[in-house]
Amino acid sequence: MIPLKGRELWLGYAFLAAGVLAIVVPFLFILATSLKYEIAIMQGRVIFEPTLYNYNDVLFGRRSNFVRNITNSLIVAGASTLIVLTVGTLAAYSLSRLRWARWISGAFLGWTMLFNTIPVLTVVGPWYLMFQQAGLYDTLLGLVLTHVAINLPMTVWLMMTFFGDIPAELEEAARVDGAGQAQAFRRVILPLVVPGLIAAGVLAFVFSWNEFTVALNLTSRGTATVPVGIANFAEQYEVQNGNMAAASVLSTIPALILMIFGQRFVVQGLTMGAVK
Amino acid sequence: MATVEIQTLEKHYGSAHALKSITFTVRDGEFVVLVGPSGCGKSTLLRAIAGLEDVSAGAVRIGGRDVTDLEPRDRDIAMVFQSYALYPHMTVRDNMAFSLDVRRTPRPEIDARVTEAARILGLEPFLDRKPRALSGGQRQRVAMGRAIVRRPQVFLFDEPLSNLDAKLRVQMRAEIRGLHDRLGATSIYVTHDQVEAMTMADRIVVLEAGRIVQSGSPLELYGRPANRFVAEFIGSPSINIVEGRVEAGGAVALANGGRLPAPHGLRDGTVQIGIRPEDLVLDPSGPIGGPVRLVEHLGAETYVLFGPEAAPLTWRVAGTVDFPSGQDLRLRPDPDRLHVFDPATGNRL
Repeated sequence: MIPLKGRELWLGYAFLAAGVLAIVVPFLFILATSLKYEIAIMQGRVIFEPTLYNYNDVLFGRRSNFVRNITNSLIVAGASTLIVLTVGTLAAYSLSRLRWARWISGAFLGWTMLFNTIPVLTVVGPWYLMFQQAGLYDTLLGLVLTHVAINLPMTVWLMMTFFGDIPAELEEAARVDGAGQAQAFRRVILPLVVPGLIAAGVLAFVFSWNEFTVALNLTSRGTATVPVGIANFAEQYEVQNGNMAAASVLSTIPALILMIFGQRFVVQGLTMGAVK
Repeated sequence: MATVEIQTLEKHYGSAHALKSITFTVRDGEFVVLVGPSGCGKSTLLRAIAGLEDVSAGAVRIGGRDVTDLEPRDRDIAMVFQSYALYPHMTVRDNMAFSLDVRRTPRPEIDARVTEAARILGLEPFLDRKPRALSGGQRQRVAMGRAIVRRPQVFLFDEPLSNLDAKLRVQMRAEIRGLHDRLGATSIYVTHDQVEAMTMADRIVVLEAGRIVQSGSPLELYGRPANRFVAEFIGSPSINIVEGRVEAGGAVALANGGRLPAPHGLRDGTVQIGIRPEDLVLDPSGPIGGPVRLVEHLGAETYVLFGPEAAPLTWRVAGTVDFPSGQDLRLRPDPDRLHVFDPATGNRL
């Protein structure tokens, strides 16, 4: 690490402050908007009397579908995360530990990388057509499957770095000690990659929670998730700024809690293998 | 405990031939050390015995049972790894109990065996600690404990002392050997350290490039090495090798002009003479000599390096002696303790 001194140090602080402000200022703006009446928002008042009216309207208003959106998001994010972790962990273990022919693991990892670089919009169209035929359009299951497909490559890569960090001798010791392959995985290897599972789980959940493009195209009112619900506050003839802001603030809460809880593991996961 | 029979074992990694027709038997209760330089195949051989490495051909029998195609867990062996391979998320107690636990041994028996092993190894105060809270020596003991609670037919050790400091290594090798004797175990121990091999083994098996070059007791290997490789590998400081030519009159003419009596039965031609550093005595008319290059004092003994600068010979003297650098030394080897090798094959003549 290079220590900064004098002008470099102040320059460093300035960049850091600019970065923080770029994130915090919009959030504070939305927070302030969510606490204003619509009239105060339209007038662009800086000084205002805070109100929880928008929150009340979003959560309990007759027109609002936001609680349903939250429930849908929880189901989709929770289920897709669970599936991604299960499939991704087993795939990563298999690729990093079992003696696959080099071309098989190479082809699989190449494909996951390619899939990650394709814009999601490219596949939304085909998914829409396929899901309509398969009866998965406008279902939470359909959305769960798309989120699994999108999140799986990152999870496999991330978990492979964690598995790669566990000495092969541990598994061999377990096998000599009397454990079968599955038992060695469950009792020795899996507990050691819990930080990786937390990191991958947090990232997958937050992605699914925030995902907008696919959800917008494959859901309707009953199955809409939180980001789609927020967008729906902007209608053709009316934009409910206050409600939209309140919903936005509420939508950040689960992701924020998860990130605070899992931040340490996420940073560890994303930088793993970078330094020994 | 049991015998271990290795029969014409072969191992190929692609085009690399790692084990070449390895055959030997470890008797019941014997402590056999596999020794050789890095890459000679000793660890591969141990892993093949453990079942962690598939073999290309040949057979492994433990206690008369063919285990060649069995999983490690079905071979009734225990192994101590170089890195100890302790389960970092488990306590010492759970590490030691793991093998019994996966075999569904009743809890009271597990507790009894773990307690007994901990008592033998002095680990009782550390049973509830995680491995990261232990010193290197304590971790080593836990690895041993994990092996002995199993009461297996055979113990396998893969360079278990190489991560310890020199003092602890000396202590632990005595402990491991003591434990072997106490348990009446059959043990196969891999090391590249010939001192470990000499001090611990009932029998040493020397490997070179995937092949067994000699097998015998430590003193047999030291006193009668089968070839130049074994002669140089076993013994510290290493054996001196000098070039010579057998003459018709029953003498060996050395390259430096000196003459040694030729051992019986040598035919005319060039030979390599191996002389252990302790088999030299000071003699003003001795056939071997040269200027002193370096004197190393070890307290109880002294190593004097002399002769050509590029490849000096070593003289090992008991006690403390001193020679000024550059002084000409003349030494005479013990004629009954010469080792003569064929320069072409390296084999003992």
